[in-house]
Amino acid sequence: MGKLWYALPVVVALGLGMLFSKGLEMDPNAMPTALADQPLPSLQVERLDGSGAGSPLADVKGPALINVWATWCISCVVEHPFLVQLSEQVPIYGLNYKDQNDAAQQWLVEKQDPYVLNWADQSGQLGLEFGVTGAPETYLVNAQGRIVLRHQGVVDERVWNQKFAEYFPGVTL
Amino acid sequence: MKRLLMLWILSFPSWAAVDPQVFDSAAQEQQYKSLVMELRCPKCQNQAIGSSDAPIANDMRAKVYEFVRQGQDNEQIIGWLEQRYGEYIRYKPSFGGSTLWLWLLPPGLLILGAIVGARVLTRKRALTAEDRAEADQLLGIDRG
Repeated sequence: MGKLWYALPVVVALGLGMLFSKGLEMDPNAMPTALADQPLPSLQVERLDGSGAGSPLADVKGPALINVWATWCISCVVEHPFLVQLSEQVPIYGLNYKDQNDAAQQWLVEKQDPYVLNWADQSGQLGLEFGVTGAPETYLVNAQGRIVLRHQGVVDERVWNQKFAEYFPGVTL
Repeated sequence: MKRLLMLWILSFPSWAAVDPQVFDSAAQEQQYKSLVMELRCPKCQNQAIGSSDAPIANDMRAKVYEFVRQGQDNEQIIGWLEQRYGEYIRYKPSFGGSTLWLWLLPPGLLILGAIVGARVLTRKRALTAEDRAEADQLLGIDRG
């Protein structure tokens, strides 16, 4: 028994070492999808095209994507062509986050418009409802109108195949 | 010169982050001030929303302010944000669930250390007759 007590610190140190080495591999910026399996927000926000107010809950017909974007967001420029390509097969709704309406509308004219519709969330209040931390972010909504997952950062072909493709079996890129 | 220095100090962005706000009571103001330091900014992870200039922190402060003015209590306000941003948002994690080990591990390790330490310290170190004789010789004691 006496000898066993000496082994204890070693075991504890090894255990902590394993825990910390796992911690090193984790992305500290990755946040869980807090709203997983929750219904979409019902907050009413003006649409970008001036067609009045709408809420994600009322507007979105799933399965679909909700993409958080802005003209000030540099990664959104990178992401945009892929969204345009994707929008031929997958409905994408836009959450224009803390942006200016005229700049956003001009962007959609110049770079093509992949969105079914856009909510103009100038105050960022709809973003808070979603738990948005920045742009770009993309939410997957299922046929029941519930949030399945959230991806932070650019959606490209790799991310699509990794996270989203399984929910859209018919889609080929 | 003093004025210039003052101006320079006041121009720091961290001071600028404090928005002028009106409250119904001192208690409300106190609630708001302690809440914004208890909530973690999702964009700038090592700062509370009360000490961050990030736009998201600003929006969240505005939301907290709105809720405080409505008379909601801390649990309601933190709960609203936690539902959307996850447990992550709390600088003071709640007791239970996935954070249980956070609370229990330090006192657990302390108790473990105390037990190990006590055992090491109180262990009987019996001297053999040889040890005693050697010690006596070194100390120059003659026990005849």
